[in-house]
This record gives sequence, C-alpha cells and structure tokens, in this order.
Amino acid sequence: MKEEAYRKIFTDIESAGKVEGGCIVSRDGLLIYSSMDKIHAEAFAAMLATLLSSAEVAMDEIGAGVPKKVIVEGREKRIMVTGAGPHALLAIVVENEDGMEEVLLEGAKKVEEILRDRK
Amino acid sequence: MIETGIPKLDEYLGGIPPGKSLVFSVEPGVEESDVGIHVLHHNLEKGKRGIYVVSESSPKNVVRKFADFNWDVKRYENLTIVDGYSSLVGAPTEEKYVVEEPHDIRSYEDALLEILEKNGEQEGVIVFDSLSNLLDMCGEREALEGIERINKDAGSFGFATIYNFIAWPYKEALLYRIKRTFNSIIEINMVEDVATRQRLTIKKIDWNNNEGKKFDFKIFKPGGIRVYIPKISVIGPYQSGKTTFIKAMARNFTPVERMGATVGVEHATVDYKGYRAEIFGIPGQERFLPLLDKLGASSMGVFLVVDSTKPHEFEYAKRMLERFGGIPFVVVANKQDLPGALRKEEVKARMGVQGDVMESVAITGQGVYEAFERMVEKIMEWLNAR
Repeated sequence: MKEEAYRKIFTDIESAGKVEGGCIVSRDGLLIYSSMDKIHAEAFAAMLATLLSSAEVAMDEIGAGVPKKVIVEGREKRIMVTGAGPHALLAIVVENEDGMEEVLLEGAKKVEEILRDRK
Repeated sequence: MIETGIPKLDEYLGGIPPGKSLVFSVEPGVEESDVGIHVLHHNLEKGKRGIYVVSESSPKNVVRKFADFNWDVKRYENLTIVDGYSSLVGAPTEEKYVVEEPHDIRSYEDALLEILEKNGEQEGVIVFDSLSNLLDMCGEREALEGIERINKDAGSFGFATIYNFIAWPYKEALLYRIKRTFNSIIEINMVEDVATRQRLTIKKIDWNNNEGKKFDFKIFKPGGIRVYIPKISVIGPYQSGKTTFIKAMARNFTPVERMGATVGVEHATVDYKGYRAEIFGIPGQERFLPLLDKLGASSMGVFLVVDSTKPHEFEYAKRMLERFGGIPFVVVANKQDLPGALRKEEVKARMGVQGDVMESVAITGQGVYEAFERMVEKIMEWLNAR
C-alpha cells in the first residue's frame, strides 16, 4: 500500500522540525495524500498545484528554468512546495523554514520513487 | 426490490430481488464492513427490516461503526443483530439472538430462521459482516452449503442476503465455489493512480445483463458511500459565468477572485444525489491558457461555460475545449435570461461541436444540476467503454 509509504515520509519530515503537516498532490491538483486532518485537503491540494504551476510558467517566461521550490510566507506559518518528479509535488506547512529545505527535497525524492512504479 | 443505497450500483442491479444473494468481494486494505453497514443503514432508513450478523467483532462495535458515519443505530427498531462473536471469544452478550455454536453453520441458520419466522413475510435484508470468517470458522464446504440454505430461507421470507468478503489469496477451487453459490459478485479494488478511491465492478449478476459495469467510489465518514469523480474542470471565456456556475452547484467553494475576475484555479466539491465530484474552475483569460494545460490534465469531464449572448467568443471557447482531447464534455449555454441569448440548438450549430449543449441561468441555479447529471452520465458511459 502506497499510503503506508506516504505516511512514513511524513513521519520522517515531521520529526525533523516544527512541521504542522503536508500533502502529496498530483501536478494537476488531485490530492494523493494528506497528513493534515483539519483542513479541506482537496481544495488545499488544488491551490498548491496552482502555486507551483504558476511559478513554473512565470519562471519559464523569464527563461529561469524550473523553480526549485515555492515558499509562501505568512505571519505564523509558511508553506513550502517543491516538485516530486514529473507527476507530483510535495508541500509542507512549517513554522520556520530554517533547515527544512533539505528535508523537503529529500521527501520529494522519496515520493518520486514511490510514484515511479505507479500504474 | 432491495436497494444498496449506492446510486449507480442500484441502477445497474435494478435492485436486488428478494431471495437473491450478493457478495461484496473486497481487496485486502479496504474496510469491508463499511459497505455492508452502508447497505444496512439505507434499508433501515427506508423502513425495511435489517438483520446484521456479526462474527468478526463485538455487537457493541456496531454502534461505533454506525457512529463513524454519524448514524445513530439505536434509532432503528427494525434492526436485529445476530451475535456470532461473543460465544466465539467467551464474552457475555446482551443480544437476544446468539449463535451458540459459532463453528457450526447450522447454529447461524437456527438463529436466523427464528427471527424470520417471528417477523413473518416482510421485505428486508440480511447482512453478514464477514463471509471470510464463516468460511474459516465453519469449514469452507460446510459454510457454503449452509449459506445456500440460509439464502433459500431468506428468500422465502422476502429477504435478500449480503455478504462482506475479504478476497485473501484463497484457492481457486474455493473462489469458483463462491462464484457458483451466490447470485451476484461485486468486486471492490483500490485505485491508487492519483486520487485514492475504490473501484466497484459487477463480476457476476444472474438477473440482468449488467456484468462488467464499473465505477469509482469513496467512503466518507460521515456521509457514507458516494460515487466519486476526482476531477471535473470548468472552463470557458472570461466573464461567461464559470464561477457563478460552480457556486450554484457546489459546497466548500474556494474562490480565487480579484476585482470580480477569477485569477487562479478555483476548487469546489459537489455532493448531489449520491455523487461527489471535485470541481476545478480554470480562469478564462487567454493569458491563463498555460495553466489550463497543466491543471486541466487528468480531468474526467469538462464543462465548457459560454455566454449565450456572445457568439463571437464561441470559436475561442471551442479551442479551449479541444485542449482536453476526447474526454466527456457538456457545453453550458449560460445567461439564458439575457435578451438576445441564443438557444442551445443555435449555440451548438455556431460552435460546431458534436455533443451535449445545455441551457442555464447560473445566477439563479436554473439548469445547473441538469448539466451536472448529464455530465455524470457521460463520465459513467465513458468509464465503462474504456
């Protein structure tokens, strides 16, 4: 079951810092997995895909290549989003992004591996 | 006729005739008792008699399982529980009907016959929480022979029987005997391509020709089972009324508006007549077309919303639609309340599309759910033709 594997990814991420949770989302906005239970995860997923897609289109316009990550900074929380291979993206909600980039990118690699053998 | 309460399934089954038996054969990993609970609840709500035979967990758990769906089991005087669990583990029970010898299928037959005779002929449903348990406890051959007798007895009192079954890797011979014993086998598998959901396929049915029909669903707690469509996109030219159209049919609407114009992908959930769909509204300005390509992918259907008073936009609208390839679509000829609005036949002719064009006044909700129903039908036909 992929769900077990996704859960393990978030267990690892959440043990690395002040992480509220996160989502794995298809590039076109479908929720694959959420570790956050008090949100409307499907809507959050659609917005995360919009964030990353918009960033990709904007970066492409200026010839800057693929964005490594997108960070949305609020007063108390930040959203960090990155691509996880051609099919998915990984997003986490953190209190502070210090030291979290590596954790995020490592998680994204694992997501990509799981989805590589998807039907 | 007995219904399952799962809309598309009831249509394909045409109801379950009394005397017929049906197995939900569930892939390990899916909570099998949830399907049976849903069917039982639907029939209790309809005022039919429900008998729930528990063998894999305590009768007290039934209260919790109903509560997970936000249903109060104590409301139903038409429900009888047969306790096949307590004597198995040596626990005390408060249930009136108890299977004294849980390793003997005849003990189940006796308890059920007592209830059926007491109730007389009254249409209803008997749900077994675990066929797998009966096979393990009572012996495969003996259990299936007893089940044939139970199904026959149930039929003579106007009942249909439903069995939850976890499809562990049993021997082929047993699976063959199961297929022979029951009138209908419904297979349930996990779909994990993107949005996790379950796929239901009718593998056997001996009272109509709908074998092979399938659709996707999800179990919601609270809520119950819904036929599930993970993505329907709503597209159309700027100011054609896409956001109003989505708002008119959806709940949990997440707008992305600035100065009255949509500037990002909107999301909403439609929950209507047993169907649940995730709706993605994509802005109509030409500058957002790159987003349409990225975020419109994997849609199972597309609503193309057009302003019926602006035929000069139809060509652009059609080009948007063409980006989606051959998936089901419905053209929504919106703003029918405005002077000069073209009727659907004219919209279809001017746009030059082969497919459904439906009229709507999204601002009042007129025609919105009709378009949704048509979309669902087209997606189901498309899914079954693949």
